[in-house]
Amino acid sequence: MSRGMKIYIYGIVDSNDGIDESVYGLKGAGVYNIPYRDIGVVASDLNGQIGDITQDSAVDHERVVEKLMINCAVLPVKFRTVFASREDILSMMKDYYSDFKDNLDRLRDKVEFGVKIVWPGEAIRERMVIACNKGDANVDRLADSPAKSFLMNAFKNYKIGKEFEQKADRCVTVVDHLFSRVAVEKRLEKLRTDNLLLNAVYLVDKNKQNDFKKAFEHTRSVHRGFKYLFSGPWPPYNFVSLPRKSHPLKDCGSVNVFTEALQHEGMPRGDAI
Amino acid sequence: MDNLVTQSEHVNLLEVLDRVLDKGVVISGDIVISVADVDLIYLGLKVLLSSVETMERLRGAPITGPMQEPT
Amino acid sequence: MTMNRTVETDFPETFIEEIKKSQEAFGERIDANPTNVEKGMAKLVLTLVELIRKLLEKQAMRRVEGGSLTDEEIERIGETLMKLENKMEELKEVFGLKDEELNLNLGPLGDLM
Repeated sequence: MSRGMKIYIYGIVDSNDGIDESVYGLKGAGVYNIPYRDIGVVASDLNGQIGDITQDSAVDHERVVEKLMINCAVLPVKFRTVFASREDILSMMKDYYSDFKDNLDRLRDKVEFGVKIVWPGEAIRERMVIACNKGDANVDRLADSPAKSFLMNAFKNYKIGKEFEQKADRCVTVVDHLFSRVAVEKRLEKLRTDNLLLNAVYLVDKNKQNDFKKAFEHTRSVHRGFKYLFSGPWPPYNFVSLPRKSHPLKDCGSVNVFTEALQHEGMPRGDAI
Repeated sequence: MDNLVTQSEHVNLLEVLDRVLDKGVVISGDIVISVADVDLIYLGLKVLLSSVETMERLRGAPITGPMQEPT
Repeated sequence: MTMNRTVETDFPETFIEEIKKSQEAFGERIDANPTNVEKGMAKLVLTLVELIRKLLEKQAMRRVEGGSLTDEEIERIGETLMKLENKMEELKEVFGLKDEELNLNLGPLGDLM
């Protein structure tokens, strides 16, 4: 694979104009807009391998996207997306044009807010384990073989797991209720860890940003006992919706014919492994 | 131990990473299937995990010669 | 529109801890060692075996919950699950793999398990 100039991309914008002020991206490279019909893809030149891009550059990437958001609708692109040539980029734009247009229309003038909630999950689970053990003194006597003990123990964990998740669901529903009223779309991730009750993202109209902030502050004051993290406004990373397509990217760090196989067939075939 | 300023920078960075690392526009060719952080493609395991037939079909042509691993 | 992005919390240490627990270490993906082919294969195979084991266990739990199992069936299912779990422990040790490593990242679909 040639070590040479590659093109790093930051986002898809609903503009085919050049970029007014000087914006600098990864490794201080100047950022420019590559137009395609009435939209464009914002990029900068990248010298070197995709593997050279480290975590620190994520902040540079984000900074560029946020600058773009000031003036137009932006579909933020995943970090470390690199193309070998402008031709490849234009070919990609041709494939995705209507999907990008749809997304730009849907996400125009909208921003993303994130709410994370920590609860004493580990302690709650502990209490459930203790309560369960108290009730099971009799059952244990019936487990008269290692196999039976094993199964009963697995079952106990299963029941506690279910109870724990149901409790989490109830709490999330209560908290999410107020935010949902102000948001257009949402994505909720529950119990990423036992203590991380909720990782939620909400798509909010630009004009409703203050309303959303107020909803957050109200929720926080009403439902104490939880720890809250509020972030935003962000570009709508979590609300871009693209159909899976096979798009061959040659000569780039993450080229993957296998990926295309999976996308076509849904799962690796038994005989392939 | 982080002081308050670096802690808030830290949380900021984590929130950024939470988004940019795998959300947003994901161009299909850029999805990497990893097994616990080990990129299968990076390891050149694609030959093992996808039958040659499938690969030929996707590329539209028979594969001749040795497989080129991405460098 | 100006974006004045904020990240606010009264408990930064708490969130740093919890988020880090769940985020993949970014650096590892970049530094993947191309000579670890065997370990890579073992991970893939064991991940799939672990998936199947989890599915079997879930099925078993549903049957226990249903309450319709005979004593003998309970014994047999318990023994199977036990052997399966022990075998997995053995294999993990042989290949030096930890629980957290047995997972497949399906890109935007999230993790397999």
